[in-house]
Amino acid sequence: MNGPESAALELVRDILEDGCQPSHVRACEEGAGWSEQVWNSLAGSDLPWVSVPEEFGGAGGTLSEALFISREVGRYAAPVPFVETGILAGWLLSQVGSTVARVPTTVPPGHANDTARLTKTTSGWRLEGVAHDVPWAACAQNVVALLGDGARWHVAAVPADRLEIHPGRNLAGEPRDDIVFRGVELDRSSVVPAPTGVNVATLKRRGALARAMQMAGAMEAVCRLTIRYSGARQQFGRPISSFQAVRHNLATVVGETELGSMAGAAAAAQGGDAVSELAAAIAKSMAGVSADKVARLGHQVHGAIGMTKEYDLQLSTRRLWAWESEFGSTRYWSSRLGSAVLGMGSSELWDLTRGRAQSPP
Amino acid sequence: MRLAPTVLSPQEEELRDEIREFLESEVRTGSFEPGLGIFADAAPEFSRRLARRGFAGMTVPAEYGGAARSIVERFVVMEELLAVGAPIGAHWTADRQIAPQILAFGSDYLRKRFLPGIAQGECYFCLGFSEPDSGSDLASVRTRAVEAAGGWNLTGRKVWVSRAHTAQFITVLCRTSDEVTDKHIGLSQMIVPLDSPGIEVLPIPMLDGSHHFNEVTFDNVFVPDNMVLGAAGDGWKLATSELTYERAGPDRYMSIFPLLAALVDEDRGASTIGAGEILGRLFGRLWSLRQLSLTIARLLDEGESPAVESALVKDLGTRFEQEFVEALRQLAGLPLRTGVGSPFESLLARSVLYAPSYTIRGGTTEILRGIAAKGILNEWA
Repeated sequence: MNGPESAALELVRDILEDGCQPSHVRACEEGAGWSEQVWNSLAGSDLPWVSVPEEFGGAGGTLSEALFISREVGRYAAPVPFVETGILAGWLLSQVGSTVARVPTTVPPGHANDTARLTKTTSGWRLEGVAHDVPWAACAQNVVALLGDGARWHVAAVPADRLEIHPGRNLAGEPRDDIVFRGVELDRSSVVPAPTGVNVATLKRRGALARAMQMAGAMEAVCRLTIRYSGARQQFGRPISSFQAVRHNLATVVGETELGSMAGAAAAAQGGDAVSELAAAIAKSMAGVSADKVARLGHQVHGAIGMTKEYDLQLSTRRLWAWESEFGSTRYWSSRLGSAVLGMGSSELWDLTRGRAQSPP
Repeated sequence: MRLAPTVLSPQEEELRDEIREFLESEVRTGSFEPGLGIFADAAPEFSRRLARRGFAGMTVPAEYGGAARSIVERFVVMEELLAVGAPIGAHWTADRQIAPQILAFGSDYLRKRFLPGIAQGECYFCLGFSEPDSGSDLASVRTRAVEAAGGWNLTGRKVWVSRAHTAQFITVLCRTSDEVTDKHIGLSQMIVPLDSPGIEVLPIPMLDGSHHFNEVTFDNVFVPDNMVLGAAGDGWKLATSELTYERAGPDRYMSIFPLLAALVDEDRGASTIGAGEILGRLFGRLWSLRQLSLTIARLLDEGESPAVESALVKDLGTRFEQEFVEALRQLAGLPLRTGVGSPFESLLARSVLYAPSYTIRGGTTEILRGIAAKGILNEWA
């Protein structure tokens, strides 16, 4: 039982199993930070554009499929802007009736200290300010941004070669770059007003759910590696998996992975193209809490070798730690969830517990 | 991932409306005080009323007077009962474990004798497993049944028997043969009426003085052959199948729901800094545990035997319940007394007292993790 199966999911697994082994992930981290190779393999089968309607240049398919693919992307630590291109940028563009470009694309997540802003000009718009920690900006060819002009939100598409990029990396060595918009002139057609339902909050929850799925994949990778290691590593004349304390840790690693992954999978399996605030909150909060335990215990079982660069565990655990704070931290989403809970009566709370609450969009 | 999400069908949700209607009228008439999951009160009249509406012995086939429902359907009803802390104590054990066991392993005689009564909410069972020297090492039980004409003579002592004082029957795990190489062989499970001559039931008060547990002693109690569940020697197989069955149900994480309900209804904690974040984390866990438990119920309906998953979910659920109680205790920051104060304060006090038992009863955390790990290593290593 692994959740909804699709041809696209099978294909992604094959591509990543073949072309995205840990040695490749390491090499990319040492280099440009991303894998053009893996991207081309995925793009060659239209996979980054699953969930984007065909009429807007996408591959069709559902958000559900794209989210389950994101889990595989997380499992293999694939260093590509998969989530950003389709689930985020493709969504923004299709919501305003624009067509996607079949290139690696990214979306500024919109941080509290971002200053990027649109100003109207005679011929169109001017873009000024800074967007921080934009995933994969240095390797993207297009940037699709949700920007305000002081009155309302707009979706703006800007080719990356027009932008000033200041490279940075997250804890996992993935590119998280600052973009400085120095008076970028955009014509009217590049900037479209966002409809209701497309705003910083809805973008954030979409990103949160996608990251939660990536984290589920990474947790699973930690599980498998840890179980395998415990069976292989011998001390005191026997595998360390024969020791009760280690067994208990294995049970916890697997149990927390199941628990931490379930809300994301349930939200993903739900279908439709909208992500509710509460669904995103539960998924991302749970992924974050469980990821901490899975990472910690995974390392505990591995002992010293797990702390090294040369061993593969860190490829997954650093991603878990990095993704915990992206598109809203555990604290952020837990607090929002908790506030909602505290504001309810018990009857409404029970409805929410069994997944029946209608949360406001 | 091993456990995929599942949703309830409209038909399954319809059942929820029915049980809610029943519970609403019970709550309106004030027929009970909210209890805490498996520590909820025993109320035979409530059990009978519940049964008359088809909510007891739900998975018992129609030919024995049951509602012939699926495990998922039973799940829906159970979680509604637990959400309001309904007094299910009297019939709980019979309903959850004994009925499925008798169906799976019982003779025609046992099925006809017990299933109708269980379905009517009138036949109450308790479990004779643990002994003073046998807890986690259940196969080491020393209660002995010696062959006699037409049956067995049972001698021994069982402890921690929940609700022996309100039940009519006890299932007893006992040794029937000493000629074994492995202690798991030669055990049997027998059904014994608690009013049999030679049986004594003594209370073992809980740390707050309440009466849940009992010691049950057997002094040459005659048990006829037709009251042996399965065959003689099947005892260990029955015990372990029983445990898989009941391990991951909603009672493993829903005990605390009445406490959470009281918290939000009384607006407690809203003004405590950081309460939102803590409650958000805990609520997310509750939500997710429910999903895992529901998926397991589905798997059981499909004929699967998810032993590893059940052990993991029980472990996660019971640890969650403890963490929940600890967190709320810290948020509340109040001196706690049972029986006084608001419903929230009173439930919190009781929860604090009982919380350590969640990870002990029905298989300790340590045993569960061992079982899960063994299965995981067999499969993945």
